[in-house]
This record gives sequence, C-alpha cells and structure tokens, in this order.
Amino acid sequence: MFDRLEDISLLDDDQIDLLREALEPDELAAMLSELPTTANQALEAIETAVGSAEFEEARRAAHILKGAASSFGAARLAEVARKIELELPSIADIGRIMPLLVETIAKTTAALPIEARKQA
Amino acid sequence: MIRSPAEQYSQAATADSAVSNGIRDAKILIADDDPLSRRLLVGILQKQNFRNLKVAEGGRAALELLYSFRPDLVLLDMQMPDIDGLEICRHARTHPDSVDIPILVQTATVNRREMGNLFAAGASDFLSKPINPSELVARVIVHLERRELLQELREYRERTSHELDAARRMQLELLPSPETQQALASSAGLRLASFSRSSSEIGGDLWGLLPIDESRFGVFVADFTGHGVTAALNTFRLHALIHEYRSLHDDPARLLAVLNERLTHLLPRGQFATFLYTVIDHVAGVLRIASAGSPPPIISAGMDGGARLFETAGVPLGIAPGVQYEQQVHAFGPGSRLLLFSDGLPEFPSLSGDRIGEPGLVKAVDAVQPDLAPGDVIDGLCRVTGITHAAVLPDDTTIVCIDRRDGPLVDSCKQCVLSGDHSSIQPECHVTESEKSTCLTG
Repeated sequence: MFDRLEDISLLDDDQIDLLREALEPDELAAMLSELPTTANQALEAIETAVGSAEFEEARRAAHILKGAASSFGAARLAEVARKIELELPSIADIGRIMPLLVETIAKTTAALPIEARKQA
Repeated sequence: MIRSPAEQYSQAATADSAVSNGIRDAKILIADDDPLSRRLLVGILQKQNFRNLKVAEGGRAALELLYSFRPDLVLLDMQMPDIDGLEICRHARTHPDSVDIPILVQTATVNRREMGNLFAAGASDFLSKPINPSELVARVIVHLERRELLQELREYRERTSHELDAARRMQLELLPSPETQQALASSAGLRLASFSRSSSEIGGDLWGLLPIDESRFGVFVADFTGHGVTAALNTFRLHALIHEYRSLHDDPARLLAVLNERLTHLLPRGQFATFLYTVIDHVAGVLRIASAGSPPPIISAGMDGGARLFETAGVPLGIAPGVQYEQQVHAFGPGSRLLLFSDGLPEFPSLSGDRIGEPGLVKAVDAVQPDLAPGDVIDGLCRVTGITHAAVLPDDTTIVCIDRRDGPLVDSCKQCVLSGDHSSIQPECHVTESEKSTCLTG
C-alpha cells in the first residue's frame, strides 16, 4: 500500500524550523504537544467511521489530520492521512490501513516531545 | 509612486518596519474547523503584532462574523463541515459590505480545476498547505496594503466626485438660466431655446447672452480644446474676460480680437477656443456676426427662406496674437431662424458610427416646420443626430436656437416690447392665435 512510506521522514525538519522562526518558543512547544491529541481525535473519528461504514466521514477526519500534521512538520503522518483522504477507494481499504495509522501516530508522538523540548 | 504587486510582495516580506500601524490594527478573521490549525495561524500573526484577530470554528460562525466583526481580511479553510470555503466566498461576494475584502483560502490542492473554482467563487488568493509562516505573513500584508490603497482611492474618488459636482453646478451658473433666456427673448419679440451637455461632469463649452440695450443683445458659443477640468477652467476664464469687456459687446470683431489677445497670453500652448459671437438687432432685423474658427451658424431667412450655412472664417482664440476678425451682416427679418452650435452636434456619432455633419444639419433644419418652437427644433435635431437623453456624448455639445415669429415690428408692437404693455393687438401684428393670448397677457 505504501511502497516507500519509510522513505518519508517522520518529521519535516525544514517545516519545524520555519515554525520556530515564526512563533514564540513556548507557543510552538505548546502547539506541538497538542498535535498527538489532535491526531488521536482524528484516529478515533476514522475508526468510528470505519465501524459504521461512513466513507465520507472517514475522509473528512483524515483531511483535518493531514492539514494539522503537515503544518506542524509531521510529514509521515500527513502522508498516511493524505492517502486515506484522497487515494483509498473504499471504507474497507481505510479499515485495513488503520494499524499503520496507529503506528505512525505513536512514532510521531514519540518523536514530537523531543522536538518540543528543543524549544525549551 | 505605483509599485507592482511583485515589488509590494517582496517589500512586505522584507521591510517589516515599513508596514503601517493601520495594517497591524486590521481586523482579521480566521476560519478553520481544526483548533490546532487556528491556533497556528493566530500564533504566527500575533508574533507579527497583528492585534485584531477573531476565530471562527466553522463556516456558519465565519458567515456570522463576516457581518458582525466586519473583518478587513479573511483567512479561510476550504473544507469545513457545515459550510465550505467556496460557499462562504460566493456569499461574501454578493454582500456589499464584503464584496471587496481580501479572502485568502488555505488549500492543499494543486488541482488546476479546483484552483479555478476557488478563484471563480471569489477568493482573492490562496495559501498553500502546509502553512509556510513567511508566505502567510507576506500575503496578508500585501492584501491589507492593497485594500488600504483601494480605500484611499475610493475616498479620493468620492472627494473628487463631490468637488466635480460643485464645479459642474458653478459652471451651470455661468449659463443663462431658463428665466433669463425667456425674459430676454420675449422682450425682443423672439423665441429662444438651448441645449448644453458635457461629455463628462464638467466641460469646455460655454454659451451666453449679453444684453446690450432695448434693441440689441449678443449671443456667443465657445468651445475649448479638450474636455474635463482643464477645458472647464478655461470657460471660467473666458466668462470673466467677456464680462470685463462690456463696452465691446456691441462690436463682435473687436471683442474677438481683444479676447484673442488675452487668451493667447493666458492659455498654454495647444489650448484654444472656437468662438462665435453674434449681435442680434431685433429692431433693425439684422445679425452682426464674427467667428473664431467656430462651426458656421445655420440661418433660415424669413418664413419661406431655406436654411443655409452662414460661412464664417477666423482663427480660433488663443493661438496667435495680433489676429484681426471680420464682422459679417445678415438679415434677421420676421420668420427667420438662427441655429448656433458647437461641433459636438454635427460630429456626434450615431449607433452606426455615422455623423450628420454640417450639410446634414442644414437639411434637417430646412425640413423643420416654420412655426415649430425652438425647443422642439432642438429636440428634433437631437433625434436626427442620435443624441438621446441617455446617450454618452463624446464631446461637449451646445445648441442655441433663436427664431423670430412676430410680424414686422410696427410702432405699436415696438411699444409693446419696450413698455411691456400688451393691452391691445393691432391688425398689423402678425401673430398666431396662440400667440395672441401670450401677447395680451404679457
């Protein structure tokens, strides 16, 4: 499904550098620490949608996740969300990718606090 | 100095200190259904000292704030669950308050059709996702500066429009009022009507009546080069000059020579005026005419006489000093009609692009019923040339029509005219039935 997902780095350092220049350090740290919450809310919404076979609802939740993840430099997570929103043809396909989404959120969450601490 | 959008963009991105406080105080509405994205946009803008921010959590809230907060700029997420960004753009563009506010749409799409839809719906610009903070700030500043410039331009136009309106009213006051026209004409036993319209708010045409004594008055039609403010200012100059030389009002050739001397020194090179002046001696039944490059008047001599151009020659006023003008005399007996006009009339292009020209005007005047009132003659000429009420005139246009529908002025009639006593009508008075009542009532 993702031939080269591992080629996409977990975090987009360039994007995070841009945010660092544009935001107060505390503010950036606070926002980055909120990203896992946003990601888990999206995950929950997508799981619910898969459970009730609501394809559009799943795509919509993935769209929000894609926007937030990409803006905060969570590049791999943004790519998984993009795939769900724009490429997967059915709710069943989305259902099958859920473990990968869970794993990517976990890895991103593990990586993010390090990024957040860099601000301190 | 006018800067190109690219220059503005680059300056906005680099010369932060040049951004005015007005821009920093601008009201910015951020509409996004993702709380984290909203917080990111707010954080970036606050760091740049934008102080007047409001957020909407969805499309419906954005629409409400569009009208209650009245933002100067909107940052809009394309996809929101209740009302999407495109719909908000369309809505904003139909409302007078928000029709021209900058709407910057955040989108991750690179699809050309979707981008087209976005602009078609009324978006001013887009912000690519993921959000690039420098791009966001630069685009926000460029659009706010553009809006500020537009507002200044609108205020300037409103102010100019008011001033032009005042100038137009002042210029109208230079022209003889309908009451003055009728009083002078009826005291001379003549009928008179006029038409005067500028191609823009104010124009370079001027006409006027100069009472001389009980038996004579002067009529002039002037047309300055160009239109608009410069030409209009010149009409004010000319009006003042004409009234300065009151002693020459009975001497058309000398009046023109003096006006030419003065205008030659006053007007910059390239500006001049055509001018036609005629003294109407209604007692003697004579016109004395001098022209400075003006279109020739059209005269119908007597009830049965055909209309013809009264050829005149002369250098326009203000071109060269030392020019002498020639006075020509023409009979203006009972039944005669005089038509003075600026070139806006014969040169008016009809819908098909044709112009009636001076020969066409002569034919049109020739076809007019002898007893048609001057106002109706002017209406008829406007119809023939295509000048309708709604027509936009490419040139300032003036028409003055004067006719003499009385009989030969017998002594009793002269008394009528001079004394204003219309208590009796003599058998010699050649007046129509309808005119009798006017005569009797004065």
